[in-house]
Amino acid sequence: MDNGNLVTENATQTLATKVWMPKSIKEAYELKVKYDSNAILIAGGTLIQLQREQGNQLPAHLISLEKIDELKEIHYFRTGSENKVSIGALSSLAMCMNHPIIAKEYPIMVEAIKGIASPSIRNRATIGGNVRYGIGDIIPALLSLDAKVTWFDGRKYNTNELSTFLEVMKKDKNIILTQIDIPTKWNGLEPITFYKKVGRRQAFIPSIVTVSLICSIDLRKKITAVRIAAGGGGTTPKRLVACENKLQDLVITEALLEDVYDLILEEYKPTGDPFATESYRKSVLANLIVAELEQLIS
Amino acid sequence: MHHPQQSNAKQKKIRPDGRSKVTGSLKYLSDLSFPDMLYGKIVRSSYPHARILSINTEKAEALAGVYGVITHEDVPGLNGFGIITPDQPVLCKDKVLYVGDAIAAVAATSIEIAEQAIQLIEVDYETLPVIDDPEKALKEDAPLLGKDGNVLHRAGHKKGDVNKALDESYVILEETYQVPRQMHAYMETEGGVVVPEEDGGISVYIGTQHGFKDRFQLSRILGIEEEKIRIISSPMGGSFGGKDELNIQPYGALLALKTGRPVKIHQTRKESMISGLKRHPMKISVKTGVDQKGNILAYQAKIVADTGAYATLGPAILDFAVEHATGPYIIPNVEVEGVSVYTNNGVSGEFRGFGGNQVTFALEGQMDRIAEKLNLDPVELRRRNIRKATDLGPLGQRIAETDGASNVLESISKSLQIKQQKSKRSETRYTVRGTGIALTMHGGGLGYGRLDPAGGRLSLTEKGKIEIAFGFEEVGQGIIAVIETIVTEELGCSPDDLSILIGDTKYVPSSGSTTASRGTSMVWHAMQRMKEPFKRLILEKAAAILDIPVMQLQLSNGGVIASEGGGTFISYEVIAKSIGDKEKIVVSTNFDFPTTPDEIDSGHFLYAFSGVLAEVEINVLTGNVRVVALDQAVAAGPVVNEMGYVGQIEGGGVMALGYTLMEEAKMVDSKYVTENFDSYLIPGIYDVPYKMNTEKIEKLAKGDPYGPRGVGEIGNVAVAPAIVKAIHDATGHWVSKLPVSSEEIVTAVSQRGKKRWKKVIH
Ligand SMILES: Cc1cc2nc3c(=O)[nH]c(=O)nc-3n(C[C@H](O)[C@H](O)[C@H](O)COP(=O)(O)OP(=O)(O)OC[C@H]3O[C@@H](n4cnc5c(N)ncnc54)[C@H](O)[C@@H]3O)c2cc1C
Repeated sequence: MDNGNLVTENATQTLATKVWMPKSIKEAYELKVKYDSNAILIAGGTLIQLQREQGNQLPAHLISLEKIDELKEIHYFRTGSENKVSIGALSSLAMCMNHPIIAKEYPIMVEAIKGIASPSIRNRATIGGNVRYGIGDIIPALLSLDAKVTWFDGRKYNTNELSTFLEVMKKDKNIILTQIDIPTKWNGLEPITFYKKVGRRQAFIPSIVTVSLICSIDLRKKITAVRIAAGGGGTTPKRLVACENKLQDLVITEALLEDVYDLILEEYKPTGDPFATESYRKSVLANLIVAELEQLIS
Repeated sequence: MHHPQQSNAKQKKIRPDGRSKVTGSLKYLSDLSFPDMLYGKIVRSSYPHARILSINTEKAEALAGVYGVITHEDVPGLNGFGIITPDQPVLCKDKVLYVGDAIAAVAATSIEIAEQAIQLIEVDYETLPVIDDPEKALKEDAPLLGKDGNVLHRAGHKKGDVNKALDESYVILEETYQVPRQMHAYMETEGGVVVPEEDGGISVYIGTQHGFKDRFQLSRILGIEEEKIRIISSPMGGSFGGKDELNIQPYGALLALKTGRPVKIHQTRKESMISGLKRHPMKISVKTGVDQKGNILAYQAKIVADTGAYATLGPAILDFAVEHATGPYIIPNVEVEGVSVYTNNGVSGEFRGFGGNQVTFALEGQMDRIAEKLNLDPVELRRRNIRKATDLGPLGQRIAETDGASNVLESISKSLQIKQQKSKRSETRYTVRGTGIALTMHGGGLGYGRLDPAGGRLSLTEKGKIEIAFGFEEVGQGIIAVIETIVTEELGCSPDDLSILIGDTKYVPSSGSTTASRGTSMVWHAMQRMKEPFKRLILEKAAAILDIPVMQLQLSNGGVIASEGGGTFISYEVIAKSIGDKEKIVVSTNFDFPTTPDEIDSGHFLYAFSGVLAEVEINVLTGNVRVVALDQAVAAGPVVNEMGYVGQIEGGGVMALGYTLMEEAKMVDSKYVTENFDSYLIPGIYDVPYKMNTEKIEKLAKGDPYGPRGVGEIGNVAVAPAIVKAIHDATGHWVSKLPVSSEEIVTAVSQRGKKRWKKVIH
């Protein structure tokens, strides 16, 4: 009892927070650069509120994107070969879910959004905020749909793979996500889709494992195209490329599924927490994917 | 006397306080505001175990908007609280024993300033080794947490010769059960306002389960007479035992007296989580011996309860656990030993079920495991060992005759048969289903040797209202509907004639605590005592005015009428007006909760029973368990208010479903990992069966004079073992640790490595 160590609690000061309401992306960006680490962008504010409740103090400046109307639009483009839906980053999750084209073309998006938080939160939460969260449940769905995203970095608008954005945003905290494009008619096929989120209760729950799978098979049960993306908890969602490659152009058999099961355990690298271990997360993901594929052959 | 056997189940009354609660228009005490009100915040310990070297409040006091800062130096009376022993410091002086320990508090003009101020209070600590587990606390060389060591309380019960009986047993089943730290999760966190009064006293607008007890404890802390303290304590947004002990009242009171202004404190969920009581985590090791036919010969149980840093009702909870360890079964040889141990974890205390849930999980777990070992139907095994109506209680004490145990067993086993026929047919490729039942027997009231007074007061007010006053609190359980139903039924008047008065020590008589499933029962008992004298006083008055013999009159809607009919009527208002100041009509009663005539400490007398049926669906890919059916058969005497009754059983059931599947206030190194509802999970609507059935068995023993038993706890007690049996039925796997781990289930459904998912394909 005598070897206790001495600690002094540091008194910290509560800050008053100022909210900015820029009307353009450029203006928002300039404000963000000006106040840099003393500012954050805020869209629906639902994640920020959650983090504040968890003890993260708000910075001195909040830069709201709410007044930038162009970020709230959803468009459908049909240009012959390339059809896509463009979703403004500030579109609410509820708006996305209820949009007729999204509902028709991407049931997997609807499925994914339905599993996020609760109806009232989905009314405020934006798709951009969910992507920028880095571990949002929409990300596996977007990865499997080959979505591309556009962001503004102060000089220009960049359009690239979502996975690239997830890397870039870790380094440049000031970039603004503006748009998410999802190609329709996935590889020209009518795909089989599967999305599942597993949490510690049935609904309104952070994910332990989230998986999104899209594939097409021919009559001989050969896989002609496949995308598998997975995330959950603090794990950055990723495509399981080795698995996809393994499955591509092969006929689904029991033996193949056994190999794929092992491959998933190898390829998927989740992070554990006090509520679910890494090994549990791995086996749930492998179980879900293999069971889904198995149903295609029996 | 009233015939309790008569069913009142038709009573589907709407709760008088229902509408305002559902619409949100009702003002809780934590919603109140007063002129010049300040806001209080409490500094809680940064460490679960540390010495306090110094406390510096200078900077906080200098902050604009701060009107008062208090530390241990500002406690005029006893610096301690606790219903049994006041061992928890109001404000710690030199030592902290858990993360909820209070060190200082401030009152300021806004919550924000108060928050800022508490961050400016500097506390120097010397951290001490943390005891995060009762087993560590019991080691010889463990640092001492309590005044007299690390054992708060030991309790036990012995009967026959367990070791000999175990030796002679055909099968001995040994298992250790572990149950978690559950949070009450009431919607309204601890809060309210304390207002200083001109006479130097205070009015405390803060919810509690026992206003008079708070008054007593506060008077001890503040060093002022009880009469100068008024406690306004209803309505509250839930308690479930969690607000039985003092929580923020002392800080509000000290700050209000220091600043001379009303002070509001309303804890955030996180503050509530860190400082609030929890259900005792327990580890229960059991050995059960049984003969070839399924007669239980021996039951040996060792209970280790993690009581946390301070006592509160820890000793009583352990006593209750020991008494209920063998439940409704008659076992010739019993040895139960319980120990409640101090640790640096959060304070464990009062919680719906009061130690019964933990031991029932172990007892019923043993029953099902033995049935499997003997290849016997679990219902049949229970039937062979169940108590008969006139058997003694679990501690060998005489109890009110009751066949409730058999009644609920037979009722729930019928439901089980029906459920079993359908269950397996609903399985799918990746889901399996199973069913299970469990029983419990649960005592009401505080038990032999505990002060357990009750009472009530009936009067006719000047305005002609029949005023019924009790010291009970509305904690969300529906006591107002209960009072309205019982009083109108017993007197024959209408709800409009009533004025119900509860929750204010200035006006109500002392009726004891609103705990231990006693409210409904005590309202009924009080009315049995008061109704005749009260009726007589009113009728005599009416008879005099009307000049009709008392015998020919009766109480009715709005006034007194002639029993024969014929239009004779005199309103209560007119009767009231005719009464002079001196001859007021007031009837009151004081009595004790019925207890066993045998001198057996803590032994109960009135028991309620429940049989629970659970059906689960398990996803074999994820190990996720969903409860698809949760039905209960309850024997608790006549139903007073059907909706209230069903609400208690279903609500208790859902709370226990959470306990079984997801609720755990997880601590690592005696610090909470779950600090809010984002990680401390309670069931949502999707986790709850679409429909739950409650079978109400109202039958009482012939001539039973004790009326309705309370149902506040009974629906909460035997749910976990029923769910766990259902999981076993579905998967073949026995769970002995709660909450059920999906990982454990998914591992158990197949141990076959990569082909685990294949095993379920039939
Ligand atoms: C109770 C509750 C439950 C939740 N459940 C889930 C769940 O089940 N699944 C899930 O995925 N999430 C969940 N969330 C997290 C969160 O609400 C969602 O991820 C939501 O989509 C975030 O969107 P937002 O607009 O509210 O983001 P905000 O809170 O406004 O912002 C989130 C982050 O993104 C940044 N940001 C926002 N928009 C942009 C942009 N256009 N460009 C650059 N940066 C930007 C912000 O600076 C901030 O760092 C939950 C939150 C709460 C409060």
